[in-house]
Amino acid sequence: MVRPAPLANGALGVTGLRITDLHKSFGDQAVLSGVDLEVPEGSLTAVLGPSGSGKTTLLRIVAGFERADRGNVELGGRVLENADRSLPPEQRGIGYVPQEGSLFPHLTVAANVAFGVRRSTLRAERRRFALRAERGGAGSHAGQLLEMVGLTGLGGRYPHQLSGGQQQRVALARALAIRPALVLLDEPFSSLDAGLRASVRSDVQDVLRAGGITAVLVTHDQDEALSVADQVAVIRDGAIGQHGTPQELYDHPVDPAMARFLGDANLIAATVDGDRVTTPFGPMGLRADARSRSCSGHAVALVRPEQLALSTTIGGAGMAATVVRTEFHGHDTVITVDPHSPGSLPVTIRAEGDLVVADGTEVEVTAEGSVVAWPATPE
Amino acid sequence: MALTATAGPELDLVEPITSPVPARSRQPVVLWIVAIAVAALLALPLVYVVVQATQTGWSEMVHLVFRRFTLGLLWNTVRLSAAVTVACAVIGTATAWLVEQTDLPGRRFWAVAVVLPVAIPDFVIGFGWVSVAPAVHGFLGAWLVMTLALYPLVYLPVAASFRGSDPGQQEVARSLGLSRPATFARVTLAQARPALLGGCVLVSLALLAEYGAFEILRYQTLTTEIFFESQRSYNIPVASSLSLILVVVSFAVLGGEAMVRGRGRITRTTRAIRGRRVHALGRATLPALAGLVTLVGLALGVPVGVVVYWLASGGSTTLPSSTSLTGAALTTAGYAAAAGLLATLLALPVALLAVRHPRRSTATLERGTFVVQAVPGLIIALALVFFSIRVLRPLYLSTPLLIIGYGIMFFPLALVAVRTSVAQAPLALEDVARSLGRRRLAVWWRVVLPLVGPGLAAAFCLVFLSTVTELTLTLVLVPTGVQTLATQFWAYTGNLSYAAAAPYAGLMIAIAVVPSYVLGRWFDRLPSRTGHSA
Repeated sequence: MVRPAPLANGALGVTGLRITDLHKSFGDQAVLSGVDLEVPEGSLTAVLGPSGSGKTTLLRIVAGFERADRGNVELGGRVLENADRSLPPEQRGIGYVPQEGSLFPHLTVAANVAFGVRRSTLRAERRRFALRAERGGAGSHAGQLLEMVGLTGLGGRYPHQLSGGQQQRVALARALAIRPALVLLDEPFSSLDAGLRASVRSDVQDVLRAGGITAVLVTHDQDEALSVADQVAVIRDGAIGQHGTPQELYDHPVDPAMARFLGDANLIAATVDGDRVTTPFGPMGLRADARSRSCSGHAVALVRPEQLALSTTIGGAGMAATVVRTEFHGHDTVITVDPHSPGSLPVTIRAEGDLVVADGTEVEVTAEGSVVAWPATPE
Repeated sequence: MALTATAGPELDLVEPITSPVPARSRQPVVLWIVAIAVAALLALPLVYVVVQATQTGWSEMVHLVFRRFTLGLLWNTVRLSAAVTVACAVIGTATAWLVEQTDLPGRRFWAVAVVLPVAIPDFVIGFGWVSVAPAVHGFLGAWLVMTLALYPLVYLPVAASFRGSDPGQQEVARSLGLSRPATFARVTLAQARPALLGGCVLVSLALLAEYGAFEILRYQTLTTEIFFESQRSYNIPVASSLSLILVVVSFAVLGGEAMVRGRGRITRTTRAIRGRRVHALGRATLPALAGLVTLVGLALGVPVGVVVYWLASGGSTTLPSSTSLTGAALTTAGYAAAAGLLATLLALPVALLAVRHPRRSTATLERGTFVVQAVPGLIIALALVFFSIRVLRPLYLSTPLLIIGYGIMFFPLALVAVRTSVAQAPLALEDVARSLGRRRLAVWWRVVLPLVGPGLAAAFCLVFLSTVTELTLTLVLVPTGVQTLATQFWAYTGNLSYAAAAPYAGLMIAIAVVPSYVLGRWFDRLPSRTGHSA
């Protein structure tokens, strides 16, 4: 992979894409009901949501393939879509990478990449290329893009001669060839198998970062969203449920359902008193945002599995439990324990390395750090 | 302190998935208007049958229908249909199994050879047999000739189904304790059932619509009698009562298939098919080969041999002049080209609607237009004569009317090919192309046309070669004084001038067989063309 020099990009925080109050329904089924989203220029924002949550529809409206029923879409201050007008997709300058790549099967890889490049530009490039070739210079824009996505020399192949990962890279290069103001990626990695997905994902991330390209990635995979994106917007019930950096979302979810959607979560009954939280694992701190929620008394606290630790020495201040299942993942081990206190549900603990604990072992669970908590709803 | 894992309002993050592809919100209005106009044109023959029946009067119709003569014709038609369909089902399935599922020597050759009879017009096969063995006539003669002419209509879909079958399933069936024949019946054949049924329907419908071969074989069916009453004795009430019966029988065949097929669907759970696995024929190899040689010899060898014989033995006096031969060939080619173009154009809006806007309404429209395949060419021709005389007099016996007749008749054929080709250019590709800054028109030119083009060409060829060998509708609608290969062949065989007829038959076979072979190869390669997402 060759990383091109970063393009002159605006400082982070300048709004690239702004979506306000977007509504869309198909027949009597409302898909989007009031989506507000701001994507800072040069950032990679993931729109995360389960299948059928309307995230693909959102992307298609931004690209101009669908019209919104209501609401505005602006890109770099230019109105793409509002109540009066809708710019056709070919005038938006938005690169689009669909789920299956959708390469043109009748064109070579090079022709696919050059598809959106104006003929005049191509001619000019060819002239320049010819001049440079005499001096032993580099190839055309399309060639550079192929080099950038790591597919140098494959320009003469046809799409069906490429692997799934290669096809996705070509689709990205094709979208970047028009020097778009924004790139939309619609679950671009979901059709790849697990091993390939990670490498293609990080390559795509590198290309986008290096180019300072504003991008919106749609995915249903929270792991992917949290690991790749600068910003994550969770779409839920047709609107953005929460929007922030991956760390913010993971550590400060707005409600228990969001907490569970963003990763493994132990939702534990606790008591809040000031900035102290009493949990079965012992006392823990309360995070600032939870404090502002005037949470006091009976509460539900979010304890992530990695905040918990196991000890076979029993008799401390922690929670007594029995190990019921151990899953070894190599880099870490996930252990499920059954607390001794009656009526309590199993708790998940993530420990680094290969902690070997036999099922049935009596253990004590202790916790570290601070938690978010929500007032417990009366049962 | 009690631990609870669920607390707070549970939000349902998972919504039901409505469809994998997001529905398009805009209705394609123009496409709908054009497609409905096409459907209206295709409905003309049925309107004609109903109008004719009402004009004759229902009491008169009932009287005509329940005559001994009519019931005799109906019995003739139905028993021949049943006998030929059963024979075609057995021969077609057995041949498909031999070619696709066994280690038969030369299976690539056989795969082509057993299909070719479908390209030879039924009336030429009939002519071949009658001139070799005058004893071939009546029910048995008609049964033999039509079985030889139509069994490829079963072979083709069943062979395709066998080819796509998962050998793993047969192995599983064997491991579950089923014998080889039981596996064939309960797994292989059970999966090919829709294809087999579809093939049988095609055979029945072709048989109900056939005129030329039965005329040569002196076997009376509903169609031959309708032709006689409407074209020779001009007895319109009788012709229309018989037409009504013929259409009802055809629709019964179509409806019966839908009922038998039911709602069941066959899906393959695993995607990848690992290589073809074949049954060893062993000692059965020789009998199998002998069977195939006999089949191809009877179906292909006899008609081709007869044509060659007459060509060789005919003196220069009995052979038609080369100018009239060339003239007829050119006229035929011109008609066929126009018909191919029209049928493809008619099929395009319907296919676009059905493939790109899959909804219940578009599926209903598409299925509705397919119904035309149950309307015999003769009825289409009579309907066009009826409407042109009453509404558009200048069109009567004009070339455009003939072309419209072909267009209606071969619409279902074109639709099948156009549908496959439209599916080659999914809307996602157009979306991408437009996001890359290309206007709608440029996208059509640079993306859609290159992908859809080959399939459209196939549709054109399919209709072209069907038109070349079409006889019944041509006889009714051909403009006065115009000669095509089929009408000339027909005129000469009518006078028993076999030597003079032979060159026309030879030309028809030559024009039809070569494109058939090319088309066969194209359809064979089709799956590999969809490799863009592989």
